[in-house]
Amino acid sequence: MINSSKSEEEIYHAALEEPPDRRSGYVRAACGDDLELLERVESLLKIREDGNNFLESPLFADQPLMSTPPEEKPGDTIDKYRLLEKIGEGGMAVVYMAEQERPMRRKVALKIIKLGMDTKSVIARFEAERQALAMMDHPNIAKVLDAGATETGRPYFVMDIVPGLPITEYCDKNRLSIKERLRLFILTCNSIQHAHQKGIIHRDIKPSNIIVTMHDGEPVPKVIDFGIAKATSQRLTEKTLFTRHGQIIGTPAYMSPEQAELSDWDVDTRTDIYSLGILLYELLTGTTPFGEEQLREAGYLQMQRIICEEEPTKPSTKLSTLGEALTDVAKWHSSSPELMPKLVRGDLDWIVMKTLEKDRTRRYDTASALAADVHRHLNSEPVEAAAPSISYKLRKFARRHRVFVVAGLFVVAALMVVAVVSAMYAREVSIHARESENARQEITGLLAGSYVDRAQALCEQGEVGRGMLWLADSLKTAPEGSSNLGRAIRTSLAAWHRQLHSLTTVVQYPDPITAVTFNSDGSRILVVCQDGTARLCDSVTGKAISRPLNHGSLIWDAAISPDGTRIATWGTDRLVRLWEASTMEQVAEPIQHQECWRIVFSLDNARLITAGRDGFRFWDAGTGKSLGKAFRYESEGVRAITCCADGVRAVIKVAQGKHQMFDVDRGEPIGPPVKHVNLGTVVISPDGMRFATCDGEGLIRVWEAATGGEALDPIVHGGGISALAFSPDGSRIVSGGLTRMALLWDAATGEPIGAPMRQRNTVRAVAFSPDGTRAVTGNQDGVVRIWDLIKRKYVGEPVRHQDELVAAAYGPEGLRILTETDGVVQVRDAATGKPIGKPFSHPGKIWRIAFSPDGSRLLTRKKGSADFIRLWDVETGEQVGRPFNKSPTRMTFSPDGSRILAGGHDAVARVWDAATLKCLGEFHQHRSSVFAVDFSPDGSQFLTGSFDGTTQLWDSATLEPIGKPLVHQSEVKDVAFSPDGTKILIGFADGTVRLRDLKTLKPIGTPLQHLKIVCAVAFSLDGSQLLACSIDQTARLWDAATLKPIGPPLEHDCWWPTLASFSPDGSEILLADPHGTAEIWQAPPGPLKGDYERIVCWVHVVTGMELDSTGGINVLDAPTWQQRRRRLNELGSPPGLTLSEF
Amino acid sequence: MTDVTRILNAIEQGDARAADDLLPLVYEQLRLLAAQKMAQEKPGQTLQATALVHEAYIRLVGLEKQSWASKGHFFMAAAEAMKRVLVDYARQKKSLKRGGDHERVPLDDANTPENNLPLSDDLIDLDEALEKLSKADRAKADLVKLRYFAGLTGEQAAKALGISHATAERYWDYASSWLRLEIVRNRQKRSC
Repeated sequence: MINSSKSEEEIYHAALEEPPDRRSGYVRAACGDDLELLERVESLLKIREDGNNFLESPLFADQPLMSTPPEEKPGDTIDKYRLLEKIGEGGMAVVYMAEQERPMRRKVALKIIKLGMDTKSVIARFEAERQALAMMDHPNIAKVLDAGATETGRPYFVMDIVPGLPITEYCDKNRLSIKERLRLFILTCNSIQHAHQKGIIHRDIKPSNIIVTMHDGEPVPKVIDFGIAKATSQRLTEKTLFTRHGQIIGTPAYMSPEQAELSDWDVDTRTDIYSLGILLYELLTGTTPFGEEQLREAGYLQMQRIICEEEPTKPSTKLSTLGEALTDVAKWHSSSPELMPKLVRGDLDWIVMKTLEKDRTRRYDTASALAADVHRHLNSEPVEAAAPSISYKLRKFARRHRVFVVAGLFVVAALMVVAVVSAMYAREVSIHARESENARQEITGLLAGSYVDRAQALCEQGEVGRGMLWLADSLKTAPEGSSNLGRAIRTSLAAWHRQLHSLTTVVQYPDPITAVTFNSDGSRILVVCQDGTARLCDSVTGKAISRPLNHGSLIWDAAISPDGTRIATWGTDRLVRLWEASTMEQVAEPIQHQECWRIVFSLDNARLITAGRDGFRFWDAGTGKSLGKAFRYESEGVRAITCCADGVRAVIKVAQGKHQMFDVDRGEPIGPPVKHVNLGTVVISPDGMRFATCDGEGLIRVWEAATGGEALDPIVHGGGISALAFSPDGSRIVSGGLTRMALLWDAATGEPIGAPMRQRNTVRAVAFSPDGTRAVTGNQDGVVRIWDLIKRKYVGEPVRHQDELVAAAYGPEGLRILTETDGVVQVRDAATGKPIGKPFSHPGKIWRIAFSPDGSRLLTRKKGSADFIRLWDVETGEQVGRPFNKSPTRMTFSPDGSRILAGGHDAVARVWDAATLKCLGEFHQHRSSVFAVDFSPDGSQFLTGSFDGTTQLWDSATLEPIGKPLVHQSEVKDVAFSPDGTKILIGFADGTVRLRDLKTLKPIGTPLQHLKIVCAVAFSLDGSQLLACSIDQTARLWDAATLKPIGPPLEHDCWWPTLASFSPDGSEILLADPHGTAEIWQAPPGPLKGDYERIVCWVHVVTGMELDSTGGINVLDAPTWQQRRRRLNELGSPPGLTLSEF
Repeated sequence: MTDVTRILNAIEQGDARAADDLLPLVYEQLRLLAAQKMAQEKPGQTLQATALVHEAYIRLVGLEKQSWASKGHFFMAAAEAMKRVLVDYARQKKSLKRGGDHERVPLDDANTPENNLPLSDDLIDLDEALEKLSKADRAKADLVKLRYFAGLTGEQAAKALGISHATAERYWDYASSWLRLEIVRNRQKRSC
C-alpha cells in the first residue's frame, strides 16, 4: 500500500512519472480512502491532459483565455486582407482566398497557421529571411508576400494564389506518362535550384507544396510555401513532433534523415534534394518509400530509426510488389502493369536511390545536377547516378544508336516523341526481335495502346484537338499486323472529330486584325486590319473577293450592312467613311462625327448609326447625309451598340465601372446600371435583352438588361479577354484573348462547349456566321481562322411526345415508343408519332418492356417487385393470357419468339412458353435477385446473372445448366451475348464491365471502367463495339477486339438507364430509362480510311495543330497550315469527312 | 540613478519595505504606457503586455546592468502591476458592456477604441484564481505572474525567484493545472 499521506501536488507529479496506462491505478492507490483528494488529483490530471494551456504562451493583451481562438471566417478582415473563402485546410494551416485592398486590389492566398505557435518568433524568423525571399524571382515559384498575426494571435502568410492540383494528383488525374512526369519534375528541380542559389532552403518539399497550374495551356509546377517551413519550424523534439492533439507536424514520409534526427539547425540544400527524391519516387510508383501510415504508427523513435537507417526499396521493385494496386498505378501513368516496372528499372531506380542516400554527401550536390541526370535519362544518355562502369556506358551508347535501327523496323517514320519513348523499349525489342516477332508486336502494341489511353484522357478533359493528334500518332506506333488496334484508333478519331471545332480556313493578313464580321448569307467575311485596310474575302476559301479598301488612317471600328452592300469604317482620322462593298469604292463624303465610338447599320440597311461621346446620330447609308441626331447624353463612352428587332440598343458607361443599357430611339435606359470594373469589350445579345461584359482577369458576366441582375454565374475564360460575341440566336458566346485561344460557351448555362480553338497569338476579333454554325477569329499576328463549330450534343433532341413517354425500344421497323395518358398506353412509331395497334389500359406505371422479335407481342412489368409480367398483343391491344411470373426483374423473348425468359426478385429465373404461358422451367441456382437474362443469338443457350455476383449458362433444349456458375467480383446487373455467340459481356454494380470468352469462360483483357453501377450492356450489330450505360450519366463505347475506348462518352440524362441498344440498322444508339427519357445518339462513324500520312495530315488540318517533340502542341502558322491543306487535297480527304474545297 | 534603481538597490541591501514603494511606480508607468500605446496604435493592432513590461523596465531602470535578484524584484512588481492594469481594463470593459456604472472614470482620457480594450471575464477569473493560489502557495503564483504577465521565460522566472529551473518547471506544471481547474470550478459554481 502506497503511503496515502502524500500531498495533492506530490501525487500529481508522481502520477506523471507513471506510464499513462498505469496512472489512474497509481492515483487510486496513492489517495487511499481520501475520495476528495482522489477527485481533485484526477481532475488536475484530466485538465492537464486536455491541453489548451492558455498560460503556455506569454500574454497577448487581446488573446482570449481558456477558450480556443475563434476561427476566422469569410468576410473577416485581417490587416489589409479581406477573407473571401476557405480554399484549403490541412493539419497545420487553413488557407483562405483573400482580397487585398491596398496598395492595389488583388486576390491573394492567406495561410493561417493553426497550431499553437509563438507568433512573435514565427514572424521574427520570417522577417529575418524576408530579404532573401525577396531576392527569389522565378516564374515557377509562388512568393510569400507578407506575414503577420491575426487578431487571435496566430501567424499568417500571404501568397500568390496558385490554382491547380498537387503535382502527384495532377499527374494521376491526367494519367501522365512517366516521361511527362519527368518533365514536370525537371521544372520543379529548376525552381528549387533557383531558390538554393539565393540561399533559401525550402525544408518542406512535398506534393501539396508543388502545385501544377496551367500556363498557356501547358502544365507548369509552381513551388509554394518557401520560407514558411523555416519560420514555423520549432526545434523538433518528441513533444513538438507529436503535438498537442497527437498530430505530427510536417510530413514524415518526406522528412530527410537529418530532419528526423532533430538536427534542425543542420538542414542544408541537400535536405531539399532528399525530399525531391521522395517526390520522384512517388511520381513513379504512386507511393513513398516509407508509407505515411507506417511512419505515423511507428512512434517517434521507431520513425526516426526507419528514416535514418532503413534502406528504401528501389522504385521498380516497389512497383513489382504493389500487386493489385499496380493496375491502378499503371492506369494513372497511361501505361500497363507489365510495362511499368520495366520503364522504371535501371536509370530511374539509380537516380532515385542517389537522392535518397542517408549520407547527404553521397546525394546529388544540387537540384540542377539531379535535373540534369533526369534529362540525360530522357535523352538515353548515361546517367551520373549509377556507378559508371565502362560496360554500362557502352550499353547506353549502343542503345542510343540502335534506336533508329530498331525503330526503322516497326515505325514508318519516327517522330522525336516516339523515338525518345521507343528508346526505353529498344533494348527489349532488340533482344526479342531476332527471336520472336510476337514479342515485338506485343511491345509496340502496348506502347500504341498507352498512347490511345493518353489520347482518350486528353480528349475527355476537353483537349480534343491535342488528343486527336495523339491518336493519330498512335496509329504510327501501332504494329502493322494489328489491324484491330488500327481500326479502333481510326474509329475513335472519327468519333472524336464530331466534338472538335474544326478549322476550315486560315488566312494571313499583313497587319493586326481589328475587326472581322460575316455578311448576311455567311458567304463572305469582312476583315479589317489595323493599318487602315479592309478586305472582303470568301468565307470558305479565304480568297480575297475584291481589292482592299483603304481608310487612310488606322481603323478603329467597321460595320457591314445586313445586306452586304455597304461597309462603314471609322478611324484615327475621326472620320466615318462609307464604302460600296462590291467595288470597295468610297461613296459619299466622309461623315464627321468627331467623338464617334461605335458604328452600326440599321436592320433595314437604310441608316448608319454613329455613337459618340456627345450622343447618337443617324445617317443615310446610301448618301451619307445626316438624318439628324438622336438621344443625347453625358457619359464616358458607348461600349456597344446593336440593332435588334425592337430598335437600337446601346450599352453606355455611365460612371466609373458602371454600365447601363439604353433604348437609343427613345433615349431611355433599360434597367439599372450594372457594375463590372476593369471592363473590356461589351456585347449586346441579338434580342437586345441581355449584354455581356468581360474584364482583364478573364471573367465574362452576362446581364439581364431589364433587371440589372446577372443572368448566370460569371464565366471564367481565364486571362485577359479582348474579343467577345453573341451567336445570332443568342444561345452561345465566343470569347478570345491574351491566352491565345478562343472559347465557345453556352450562354444559358455558362458551360464551355468543345475544346479551345487554339491560336498562335492574341485574339483581337471574333464573330459568328449568320447561321451560327461557324466562328471566325482574327489575331494580333494578322491571322484569321474560320472554325466549324460543334453542336452542343452531337445527337438529336431526346425523343418526346405530347403524351407522357413511358418506354422506348426498337421494333423490327424502327424505334417504338410507349406513351401514356390517364393509364391508357399506346405504342407509337417514334419517328412519326403515329399509333401502332390499339391502345390498352395498363394497371400501374410501366417500368420495363420487351417486344417480341416480330414486334407483334409486348411484355410489360410494373414498378416495384410485387407484380407480374403481362403479355400484350400489339395489334389488338388485348392482354394475352393471365399475368404471370410474380416479382419479375427483366424479361426477354427467345430469338424465335417462342419462349420468354424472365429473372425474378425471388432469385429464381423462369422460362415460359410464349404461346401458352406455361412455365417450362424454374431455376433456383442463384441466391439473390436475378437481374440479367439473355438468350444466345441462335437461341440454343441462355445466360442468367444475379445480384449474388454469379452468372450461369443454360442449355435451352434440356434446360440444364452448362458448367458451374461463374463467380464474379461484383453484383451482376446486365448480360449480353455477342452477335456471333462467342463472347459474353457482363455489367456489374461496381461500375465495371467485363468481356468473357463463352467457350473458356475466361475474362478477355482488363475490366472496363465506369464510375457507378452499369445498368445496361450491349454489342453493336457486327459485334465490333461494346456499349455500356451507367448511372454515372455516361454510356461508353469500346472496341471489342482491343478494349480501347471509342470516341467521347455519351453524356446522357437517363436517371436509371434500363435500356442501351443499337438500332436495327446500327446507325443509332438508344438510351432509355423508365421515367420517360429516351435519347438517340449517333453511333460512331466508320473508321477513317487512308494511310497514316493522310490521317495525320487531316488531323493537322482540322485541329490547326501538330505535336511538338515533347508531346506538347504547336499551333500551325498560316503558310504551314495552307501547305498541309494542299497536301491533304493531294492525298484526298478521308471519305465522309470532306473539307470544303480549298 | 533612477528612483526605481534606487529602490531595487535598497531591496537588495535588505530593505524589505522598499519593495512596497516599487509597485506604485511600476504600475503608474505601465498604465501610462498602455494608454499611450492604445491611443497610438492602429485599430486591430495587438497590444502586447510583455513588450510593455520590457519598455517599462528600460524607462524605469535603464540599461545599466542589474543583478538577477534586482531584476527579479522589478519584474515581480511589473507582473503584478501589469496584472492590475489588465484586470482593471477587463473590469471596466465588463461594466461598460453591462451598460452600468457610468460614473466610473476611465483609466485615462485617451479615446480608447473599444476593440483595443483587452480581455474579458477570463482575465478576471484568472486574477481571482491567482489570488487564491498566492495565499496557498505564493511562490507558484509568483512564477505564473512572472511568466504570464511579465513575459519571462521559464528559465528567467526561475532565476528571478531564485529556484532551480527544474523546480520551476514542476511548479509551473502543477500551478497551471491547478489554476485551470480552479477557474473551471468557479465558473461551474457561478452558473449553477
